[in-house]
Amino acid sequence: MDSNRWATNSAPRSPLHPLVWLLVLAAALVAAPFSPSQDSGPVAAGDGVSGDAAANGVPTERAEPARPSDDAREAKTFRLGAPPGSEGSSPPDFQAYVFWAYGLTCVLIFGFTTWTILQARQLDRRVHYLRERFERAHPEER
Amino acid sequence: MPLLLHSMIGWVLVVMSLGLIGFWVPPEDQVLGNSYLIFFWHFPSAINCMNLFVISGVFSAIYLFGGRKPSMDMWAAAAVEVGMLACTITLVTGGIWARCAWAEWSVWMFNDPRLISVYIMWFTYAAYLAFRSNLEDPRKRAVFSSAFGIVATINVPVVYFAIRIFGSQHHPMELTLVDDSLIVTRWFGALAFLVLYLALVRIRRRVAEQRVDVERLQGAFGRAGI
Repeated sequence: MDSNRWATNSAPRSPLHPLVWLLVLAAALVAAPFSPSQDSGPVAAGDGVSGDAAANGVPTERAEPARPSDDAREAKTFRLGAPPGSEGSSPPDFQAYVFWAYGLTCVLIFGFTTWTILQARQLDRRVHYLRERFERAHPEER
Repeated sequence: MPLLLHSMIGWVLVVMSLGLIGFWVPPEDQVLGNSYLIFFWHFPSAINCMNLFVISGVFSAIYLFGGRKPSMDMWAAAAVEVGMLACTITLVTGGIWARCAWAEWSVWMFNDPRLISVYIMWFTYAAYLAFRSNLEDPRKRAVFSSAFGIVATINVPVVYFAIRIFGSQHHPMELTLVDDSLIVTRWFGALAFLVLYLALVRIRRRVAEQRVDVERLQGAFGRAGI
């Protein structure tokens, strides 16, 4: 194996990969407002999303979630996408939750991409600087 | 394919998948209401995070048993980094959807085999990245990371088959989509995110290459006594 393919790294390394910090922070930010204390306790029946809150896109703490039937929950296959029935019992509005799910996905992907591009630029500048410095010190090895 | 073009195609496909979700699929489900729309970005990240971890395992194996080319190790590490992003997105979207469907944030649910196995997978690969960043000798780093990566890949099929093996409290093994628009949107989303994630893997791989360049130059400075 070519021993020159790797070089010894003398630069100090961070104790943890920055990506891990970034992702842990993202997970913590998502999890923090949803702590169990806020959501513990039984959900009161009939205490669904209020009309005003749903209209403003704000989830209420006591929004009654849709509960699949026992049969459906026990089955390993779940039917998805069936249109609401005509019995007049429409499912609650989860628009705000959908917004947050899609928004956080975009933020994570954009954040990751931006971080990667910035890191690439920084490393590019560093490589350029080191090469120039090395060539100045050893012009014969140019 | 040039990297910039690849990335742009990925972003365009993701935006197109958003268009399908917004304008083509039915806006509500009978039971889950409009929360079921979260599925169309939850599933692509979930399936692709497993894809990326398997890809990482394959590159790790190629590195370890196929001549120890440094580029294989870089591909493996890049796939893990992007896989971690996909896994985080899966947990975030899944957690929010769980609040709508099961009345609990899945972040706090520890009684479901699928969720537990995903948590284990997330922490395993977080440990992989932490472990990797703490090994200074590049050759040792590559060898140990590859071994770690191969072992970590074992958990991926466990995640996939967790429900068949251990049963499930909440998470279904499969979803039956009742409309063609749902099926098309689901797989289009999976393809779109796969293209985007692969572009990100290529970018991360390039960053890894630059880092090796820096290390090599610093090593050259050290040897030259500058």
